[in-house]
Amino acid sequence: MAVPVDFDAYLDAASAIVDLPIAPEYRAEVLANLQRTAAIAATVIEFPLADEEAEAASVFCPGETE
Amino acid sequence: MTVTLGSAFEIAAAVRGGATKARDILASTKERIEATDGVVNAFTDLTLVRAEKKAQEIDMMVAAGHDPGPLAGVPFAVKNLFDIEGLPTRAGSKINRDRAPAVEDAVLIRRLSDAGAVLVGGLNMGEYAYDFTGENAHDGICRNPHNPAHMSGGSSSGSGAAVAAGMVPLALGSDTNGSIRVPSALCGIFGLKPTYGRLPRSGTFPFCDSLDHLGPLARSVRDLAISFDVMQGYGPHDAACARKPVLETAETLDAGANGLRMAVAGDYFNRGARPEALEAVAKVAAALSVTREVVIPEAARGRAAAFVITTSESSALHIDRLRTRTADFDPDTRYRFLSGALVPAAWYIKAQRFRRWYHDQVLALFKDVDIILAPATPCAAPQVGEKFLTLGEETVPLRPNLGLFTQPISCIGFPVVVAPVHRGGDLPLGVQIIAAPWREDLALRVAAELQRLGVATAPVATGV
Repeated sequence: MAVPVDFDAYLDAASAIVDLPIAPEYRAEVLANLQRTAAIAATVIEFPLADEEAEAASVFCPGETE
Repeated sequence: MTVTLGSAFEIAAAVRGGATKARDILASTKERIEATDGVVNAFTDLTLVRAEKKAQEIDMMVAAGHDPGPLAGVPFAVKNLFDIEGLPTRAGSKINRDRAPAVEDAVLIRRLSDAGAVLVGGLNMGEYAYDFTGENAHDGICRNPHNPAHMSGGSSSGSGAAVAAGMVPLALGSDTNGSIRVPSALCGIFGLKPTYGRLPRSGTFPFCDSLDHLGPLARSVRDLAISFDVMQGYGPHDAACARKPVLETAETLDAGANGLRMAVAGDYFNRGARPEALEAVAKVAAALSVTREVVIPEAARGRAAAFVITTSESSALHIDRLRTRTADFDPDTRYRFLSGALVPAAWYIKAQRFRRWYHDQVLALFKDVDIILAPATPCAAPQVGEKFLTLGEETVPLRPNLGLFTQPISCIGFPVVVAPVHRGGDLPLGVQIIAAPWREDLALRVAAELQRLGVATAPVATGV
């Protein structure tokens, strides 16, 4: 991520928009896990895929290539 | 009792041949559960009334000269995310106990019952299957029967522990990121995660639809094959269930590893493990004369994609419960579900697209090999309550790392048999035998060869 992310602000905004308030007693763990998830997701996000290269198929059939 | 502690196929042979009665098998099963489960804590529900009725039916069929099926009189139990008629499907949670009792059994329970097997109960599991340890805040810790101070592994904790303890010869579990393979390895038994889409999931409580698989755990490869064969077949109520003909795996087991091209997974699968996990793979490879190594490309990213897909889909599934019953979640799953609900869709979609690309790369490897061997877990069963795993100089969080080697494979749905490797007085480990999609028969053949050679064994645990 190019710009440092304010995860505290993101948590507040995202939990409001999905209508899922995070109680104060859970906040620290949720925030830490969100940051871990962002780091893990970044390794997938940064991987280049051409537009026509891979479909996000809702039904996945192993053994069949595109 | 001796027969009860044997394999499912031995029990079935004894019952079908009239050498023993299904009711007697059930009675000794009940004794075995009473003797061991106080410590192990594998069962959350016993279904002995229906079991007694079923056993009686089996005995009457045999007496009348009819064949009750290839699993006649075989006691089995299921992870409690399978619907069992008359019970609320708790899926390891407190919240689901408020659900209405299931009106019928899950499809796979029905198929095993039709083959003569006798359901004796529901089994402990990590809450909503989001677990690798076997710890559960509501139902208590499921312990490793080889040493109850250690973890059973999860999330099919009760399935692994009940089979290892000799309570039942056969159990069903589910595997999204490793939940059949991790407890199979840590409890030292055989487990099969079939190809994604092979077995219908109808009548089970989901975790993550894109990655959920169901499969059997047993102390013998033949039991995996027989039960897998009778459970196969299209199920119209599972959108991901493939229309594939039944693959008869039990009848090809004796072919062993003959003619199969095999390799050990290198790179990613050589790192992040304790030496004993790699030694187990080396032992299996040596027994099979495997010297070749292949690299599964981008395995770490495959694992990352599985992580993102799991957290997004499962949290979306639970979001209403997260809003209304937050305090009733297990503290070990709650923060992960809450966090997953905030993951942007673009991350999830990219993970799904990456998964397709990664699948195609790994599938290409199988042009040159039939089987790839890899460790199942980075270590043997840790002690209950452990939070960190030490790997050489490095200390990593234990919970996610138990799935280090299983997640990159289930991400793309390839079939895997876990072969258990016992190490004298030390706790067992497991080796993944990975095959191409729809070739469970090949993975089972290799596991059968290892069992025949005495390299993979699954003795009844003596720790309880």
